[in-house]
Amino acid sequence: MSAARDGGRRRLQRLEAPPALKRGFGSPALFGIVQGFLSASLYFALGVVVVNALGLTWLVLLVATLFGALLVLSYMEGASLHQERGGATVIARYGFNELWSFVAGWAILLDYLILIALCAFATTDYVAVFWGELSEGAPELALAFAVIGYVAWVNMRGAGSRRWERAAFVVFADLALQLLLVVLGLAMLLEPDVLTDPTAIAGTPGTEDFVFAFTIAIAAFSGLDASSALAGEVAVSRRGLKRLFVARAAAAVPYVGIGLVASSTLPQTGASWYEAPVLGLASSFEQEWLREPLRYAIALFALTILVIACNAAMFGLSRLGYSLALNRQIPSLVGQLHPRHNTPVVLIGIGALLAVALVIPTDLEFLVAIYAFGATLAFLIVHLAVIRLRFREPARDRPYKIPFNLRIGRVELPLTAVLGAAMAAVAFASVLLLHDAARWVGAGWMAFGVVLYVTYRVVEDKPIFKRVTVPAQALTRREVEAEFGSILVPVLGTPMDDDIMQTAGRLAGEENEDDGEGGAVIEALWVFEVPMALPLDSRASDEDLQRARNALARAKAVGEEYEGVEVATATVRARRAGEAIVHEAKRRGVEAIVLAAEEPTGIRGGLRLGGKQGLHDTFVGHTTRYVLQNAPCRVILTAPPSGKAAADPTVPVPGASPEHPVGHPPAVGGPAPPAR
Amino acid sequence: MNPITVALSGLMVLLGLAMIVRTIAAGGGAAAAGIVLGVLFVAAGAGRLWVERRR
Repeated sequence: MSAARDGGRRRLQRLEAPPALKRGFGSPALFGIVQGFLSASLYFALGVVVVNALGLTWLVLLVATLFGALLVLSYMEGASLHQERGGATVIARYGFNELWSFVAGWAILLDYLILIALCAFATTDYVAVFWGELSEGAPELALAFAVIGYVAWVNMRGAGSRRWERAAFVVFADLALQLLLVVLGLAMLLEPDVLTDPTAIAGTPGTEDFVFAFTIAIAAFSGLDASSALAGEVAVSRRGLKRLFVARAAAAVPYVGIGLVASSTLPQTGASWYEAPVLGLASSFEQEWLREPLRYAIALFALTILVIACNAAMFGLSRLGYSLALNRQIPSLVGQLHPRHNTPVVLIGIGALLAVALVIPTDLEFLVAIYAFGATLAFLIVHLAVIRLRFREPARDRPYKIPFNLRIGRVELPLTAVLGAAMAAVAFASVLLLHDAARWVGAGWMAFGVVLYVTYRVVEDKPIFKRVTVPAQALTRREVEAEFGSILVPVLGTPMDDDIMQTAGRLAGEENEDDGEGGAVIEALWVFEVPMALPLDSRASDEDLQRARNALARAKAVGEEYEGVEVATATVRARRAGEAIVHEAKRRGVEAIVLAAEEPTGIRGGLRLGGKQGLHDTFVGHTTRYVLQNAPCRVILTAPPSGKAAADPTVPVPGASPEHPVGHPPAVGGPAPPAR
Repeated sequence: MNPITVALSGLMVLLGLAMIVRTIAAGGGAAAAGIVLGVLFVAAGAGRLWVERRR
C-alpha cells in the first residue's frame, strides 16, 4: 500500500513543471490558471459570442484581449502591493473599504459558481462525440453533476499550487491544438473575402449585440482573480511577472485567430455548434481523414480543459470564500476548515450544490450572461481601486508598477487602469441594460449579498466599513487539549492586545468545545495606574477613559470571534498594575492569566549614553515579574516576535510601534500604550 | 532555447506573414482584418522568441 502510494507520488513529482517551463512562463501555476480559464471560455462561450458578434467576432476577441491585458496590469500592481490571498477583495479593501471589498468578492463568487456550472455543462456536449446520449436529458445532467462532484471532492481534499503547474502542461498542449486549428482553418476553411471584409460571410452585428458579445468575451478573464488568490503563495520575481505577461499576450493571438475562422465558418453550419462551437469548427472540414481525428482530439482536450477550469473555479471559490470568512464578511461558520485537509469544506459543499442547481435549467446563454455580470462589476472595482490606491498610498513600495502614467501633482495616474475602468463600466452597463436575466439575477444576487453582509456585521456588532479579522486557527476545529474555562487578560491598548486575546480565545474556545458546559469566559481588564500624588478614586482623564473603552471594545470583538467564548470587560484603579492584576485574578478565581510581556525598562537614557546592557537584572518589566511571582494561577506570557529590535532594549518593542503586522489592524484606541 | 517554443513561435510568425501577403494580394488595405491579425501573429511569435532569447 505504502509502496503504491510512493509510486504515485513519484509519478506526480515527475509531472511537476520542469525549470525550463518555469523560466518560460514566469510561473506555470499562474499561467495554467489564467490560460485554462481563457481556453475553457472558447469551448463554452465562443458560440454565444459568434451569434452576437457575427463577422466581427475576431474584433470582439481582439478588444477583449486588449481589455485582458489592461486587467492583468491592474491585478499585478494591486496583488503585489498587498500580498494577501483574496484577489479583487484585497485590492478593493485597501483601495476603498470593507464593504466594497465584499461587493467585489461577492461578484467574483457569483462568477465562480456560474463558471463551475458552465464548465460542467459544456463538457457534456463535447463528450457526446464518444457517446451521443450524453448531449441531452438525464445522462447530460448526470455527467454535469459528476464533474461538479469530482471537482468538489478534489478541492475538499486540497492541494497546493503544484497541481496548477501540472495543469499548465495540458493548457500548453491545448494552445498547440488551437494553433493547429487556426492554421488548418485559415488554409482550408476561411473564405479569402473575410481577410479584406470580415463581415462578408457572417454579416455585421448591431452595436448592442457587439457590446454584449464583448462583455461575454471579457468574462473569461475572471481566471485572473483565481491566480491572484495565490499571491504570497507562488513566488514570482519581477522578471517572472513580465515573462508571464508576454506569454499570456502571445497565447491570446491564436484565441483571436480562432475567432476569425469561426466567424466565417460557424454561421454557415447551422445551430448545432452553439453549445460546442470548437467541435462545430472541426466538423466544418470536408475531409473525413482530418475531420474525425480533429473532433476526437478536440473532445478530449475540451473535457480536460473544462474540468481544469471547473477545478480552478472551485479552487478560486474556496480561496475567496475562506478569505471572506477570515475577514468576517460572511459568517465564519461557512468558512470552517476541514481538520485534516485544511480546506473550507462547508463552502465547497454549498458551492457544489448551487452549481448543480444552476445546471438544471440547461440554458447556456442565461448562464453566460450572469457570468458577465459578476465579472464586469468586479473588474470595474479592481481598476478603480488600483487608481484610488495611487492616491491613498502613493509612497508605498510597489513590487510591480503599471507603466504609462500621467503625473498629477505628486500622484501618478495609471492610464491603463483608467482605460480599463472605462471599458469595464461600458460592459457592466450593457449587461444591465441589454440582458433581463442578468439584470435581475445578478442584481438580486448582489442585493442579497449586501443585505447579508450588513445584517451580519450589525448583528455581530462589527463595523461595516472597517476590517475585522479572525485568526485562521479560529476556522479550524482541531482537537487540542482543553485548558482553561476562565482567563484574565489585561489589555494595554496596543496591537499586542489582538495577539493576547487570540491566544486566550484559542485556549478558552478549546475548553468550551470539550466540556460542553456553557461558555468559557475571558475577563478583559484595563488597569488605571493612579500616581501616589493623587487619591485612588480621583477621576481619570476623558482621553484615558476613551482609550480604555476602545481597547476593551476591541478586545471583546476579537475574543468573541471564537465560538462559545464570552468576553467580560472591566476597569480597575490601582497604584501598581501588577498588584491589580494579581488581586483581580484572586478575586475572580480565574484559571489563567494571559499577559503581554512588557519591556524590561522604560528608561533608556543610560544605554543611549553608553551604559551597559548587562546592568538590567531581568528580561521583563516589573509588572510582568510581579504577576509571575504572585499570581494564584498559571500565567501565559505573549511577546512580540523576536528580532533585533525586540532584543535591543534601547528601541521600543514592535508591539508598541504604530507599524502593525499584516492582518492585525491598529487597536481602536490608538497606538500609544498606557504608562506602567 | 526550448525547441517547442521556438517551433510554435516560428509557426505564428509564418502564419502572420502568410495572412498579410494573402490580404495584400486580395487588395486589402492597412486596416483590413487580415493585416491586423497578421501583424498581431507576427508580433506575438516574434515577442515570444525575443523573451525566450533573453532568458
